[in-house]
Amino acid sequence: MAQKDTINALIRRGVDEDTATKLAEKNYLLGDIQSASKKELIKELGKKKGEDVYKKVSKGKKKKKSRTKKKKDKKKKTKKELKELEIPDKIAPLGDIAKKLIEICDEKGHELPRKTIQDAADKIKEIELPEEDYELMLDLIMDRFESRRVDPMESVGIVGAQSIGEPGTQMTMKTFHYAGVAEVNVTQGLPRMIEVVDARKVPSTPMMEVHLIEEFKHDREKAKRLASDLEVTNLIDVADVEIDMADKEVVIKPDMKKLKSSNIEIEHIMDQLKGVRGIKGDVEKSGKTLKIVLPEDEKKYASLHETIELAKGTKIKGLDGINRAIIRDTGEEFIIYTEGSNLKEALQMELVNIENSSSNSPVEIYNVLGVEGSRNSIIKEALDTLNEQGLEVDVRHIMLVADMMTNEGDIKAIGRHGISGKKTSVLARAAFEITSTHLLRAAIVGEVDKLEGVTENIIVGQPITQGTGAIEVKYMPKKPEA
Amino acid sequence: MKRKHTKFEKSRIIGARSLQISMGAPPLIEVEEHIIDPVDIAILEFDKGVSPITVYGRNKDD
Repeated sequence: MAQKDTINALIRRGVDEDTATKLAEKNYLLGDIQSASKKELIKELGKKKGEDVYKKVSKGKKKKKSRTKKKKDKKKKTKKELKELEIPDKIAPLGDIAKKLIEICDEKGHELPRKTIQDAADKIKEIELPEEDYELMLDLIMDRFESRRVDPMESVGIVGAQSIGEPGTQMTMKTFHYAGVAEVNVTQGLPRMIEVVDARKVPSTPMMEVHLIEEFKHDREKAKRLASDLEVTNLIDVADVEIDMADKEVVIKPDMKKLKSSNIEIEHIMDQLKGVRGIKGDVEKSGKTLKIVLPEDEKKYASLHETIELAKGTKIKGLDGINRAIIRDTGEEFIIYTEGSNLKEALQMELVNIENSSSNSPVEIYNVLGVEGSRNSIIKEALDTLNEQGLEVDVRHIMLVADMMTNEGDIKAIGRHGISGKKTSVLARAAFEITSTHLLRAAIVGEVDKLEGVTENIIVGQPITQGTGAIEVKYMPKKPEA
Repeated sequence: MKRKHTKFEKSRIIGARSLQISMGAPPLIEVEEHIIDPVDIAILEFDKGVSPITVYGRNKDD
């Protein structure tokens, strides 16, 4: 049986029956022959036939060829992209002023973060502060810095929760129109806040803010071009699509004005239509109209209707997911806002400024740019939604939330499936939701609770491990001085 | 550089010390006669740096 299968398989690949039988009788399987080298086959069958069989059956060489080709293509692409990208240093090098400031700090024993020093140096440069005042300035900065510090063991989480939660009660519960941009609907207020904190995969109103590269920042034409390249254009948007009952064809009459304004060629439409699966038959061009001619045996009304629907919905250009793109003139530059988002592909477009274009979805940013980006995105989105409602919340509360969500390397939602559900302590989890299930499971598995968190200690009736409760104290009288 | 006490450490020290004083421990400083609250006495001791209570454990390097 196995031999027969092998013979059949070989014949199907164009090997003549004699040779196939010969090979099969020597107990070779198809796989063996496919992976065999040319030499082995020649040894087995003689020069001419060996080469012939190798050519027809062998898998190794052919596959390799196609694979390397693909790889090459990919390499080419990435190379091109990398050329335009300049990988920045992790931190900007310190300037002369900043170095001087650090010297003074070291002398005085001030401990300031690098960022603060850099900011101070920038300010000094801006207002041209004389050098003898550097010391005084640093002292003042240090004072401020110290006074804003949080003591160790402070309950920052609770304070943060309260500080975001209380103003949160005053947020609107509805979706509103975005004030600045015409006709873009944006989720705001409480629902938006919940969305951000829940790390929703796709926000209810995904948006992108696309900036143009420096050169074309003020170029309205380029902005328009980019916007039309971003926006998904379907065939029905730029052409009339009809059924010609007499000839049983689908006739497409492109609107030349629209084509010109969106920079589309008729040939491009043709290519796009040919690529659609489900459209059977040929796409023909005659003058300024296109025709889809179905094969003879498919000339039924049902298949005509099927085809016309497919043709209407064919994407001619644009990025998937982007329904609309609106240009906004801020006075300084043109910014394109999009309804729907596709950050990955948008960033690869020629005119797009990679550095400051972004999406309003932290999860999407995580997928495209990584955790640090998504952390910043969470902070920005949360702060913006609060500020939009006229609520002022200190960034640091929101930063804490963002840090909690991202510090393990991926985005975790706040809530059952995220942070609260992954606490190590059984008692803490039991206190949060579905108490009995958690306790039962912990008992079966034999979990140990080290009573390190707040919730556990409250349940047990001990002082909590925060604030005064975290400090242990000893009676150590000093020896009276002689 | 010696670190300042945090607000939690301060209150914990004063709390522990004032308990001792309230139960009859002799104050380590001269106290004016009209001051009778043990907490006040403990605060005075703390401010002068003579409080015999020290913090230990994970928050303190020493």
